[in-house]
Amino acid sequence: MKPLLSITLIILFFFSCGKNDLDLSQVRNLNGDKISPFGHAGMGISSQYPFNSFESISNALNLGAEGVEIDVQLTKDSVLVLFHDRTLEEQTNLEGLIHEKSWDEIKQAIYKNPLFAEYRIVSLDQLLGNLKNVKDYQFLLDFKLYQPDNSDSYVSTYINVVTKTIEKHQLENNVLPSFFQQKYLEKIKSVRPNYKLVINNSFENGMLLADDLNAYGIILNNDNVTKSQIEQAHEEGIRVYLFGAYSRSDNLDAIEKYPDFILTDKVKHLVKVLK
Amino acid sequence: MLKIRNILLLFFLIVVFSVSLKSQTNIFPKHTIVLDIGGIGGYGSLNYERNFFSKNDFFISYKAGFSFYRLKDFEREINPDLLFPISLQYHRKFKNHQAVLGVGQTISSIVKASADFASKIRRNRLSLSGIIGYRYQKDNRPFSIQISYTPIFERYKTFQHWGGISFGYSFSKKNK
Repeated sequence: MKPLLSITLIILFFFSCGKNDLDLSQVRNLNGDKISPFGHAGMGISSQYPFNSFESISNALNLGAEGVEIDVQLTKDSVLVLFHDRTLEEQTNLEGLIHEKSWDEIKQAIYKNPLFAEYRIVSLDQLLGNLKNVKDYQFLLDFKLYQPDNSDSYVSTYINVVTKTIEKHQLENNVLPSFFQQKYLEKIKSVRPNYKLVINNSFENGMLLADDLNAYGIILNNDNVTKSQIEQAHEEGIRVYLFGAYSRSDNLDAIEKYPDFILTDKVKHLVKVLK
Repeated sequence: MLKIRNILLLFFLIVVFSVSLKSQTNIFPKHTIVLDIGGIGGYGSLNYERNFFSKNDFFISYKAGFSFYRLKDFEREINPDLLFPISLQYHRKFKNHQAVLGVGQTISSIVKASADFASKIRRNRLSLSGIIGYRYQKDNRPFSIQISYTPIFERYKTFQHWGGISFGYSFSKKNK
């Protein structure tokens, strides 16, 4: 009798874990009253692929994500590459910063994690040029600016590379550039007013900037934002991209705030729940 | 790096040249099925270990295993990444305790994007591992547990700290 009771309890436990009381018909937002799942740097930081790798991003999209958030940096010879960390030594056998290296140097990097050793750092051009059905997806580009030079000429060069790369693949409607620094946001807005800009800042500053720049959306941390703040953003015509969904419970917590997009590390779970 | 090398050297000397328990009668396992969590098989592997030489207080074994940590590739097609860890291990026995020294080689078969990211390819490669471990197994008992430090020399180019825990089940004991 005892084993039967134990088995029953275990089965009930697993079923209760999978159950949620989400009512998605109540969702109200600026994304057609639906929440779109985005991969966080592909499949997220705890994935079996290195984050921001071609394989990780492709996997997230093939699992059903409608887009991905990607971390982007500019090399010394003006190539946009997908890499999150400030220094290369945090993840690879190379040392130094991305903006100090040429693309030829960076593409030789080997990830230190032995399970990632076969994968390579990819450029934005390679990603957009080789992903299957690329125009079916959205790409939220989070530009990481670790270089000390933020002169007008550097900003112009940077934005020029960004626009050229996007337009080479005719993905103006699919790519959403996001910067923390106002100078870069203003520059890209001045040269490409039709681009969908996404502000990466605190709620208060982000709302002000989004209003000034007529931005498409704002990136906010799930831990630091309330449902009423998201409603406020919607009332002002600003879409909300929520990051910080690292676990299944984070996914469920984020959904209850009715953002427009959730950037998650648990892509498969979020896609399933939102279906 | 120098510090780690010194520790490894000290461990090696203790294990190989220790004579404190010589000439005792020992019982060594002949066959062992080992489940590795971590270790030279990456995230984990299922292995067969064979003791093929034993004398006094030590025995030497080889171990071969199998692992896959992804069934579907990044395009969600069934196309598993495969790992085949093999190793040669020296076990020095002190009553129920064993110090383990070894060397391993892992053959990996990984599905990844091609160099120009235009297609999907399967790449096979080798990586070398060192093994320094401690195993606990009572005489005449089949179960064993081992913790190991298994640094990986990836493609013989990069060094990475790694480790694992192993659960073994031995059968067909061999009396020495």
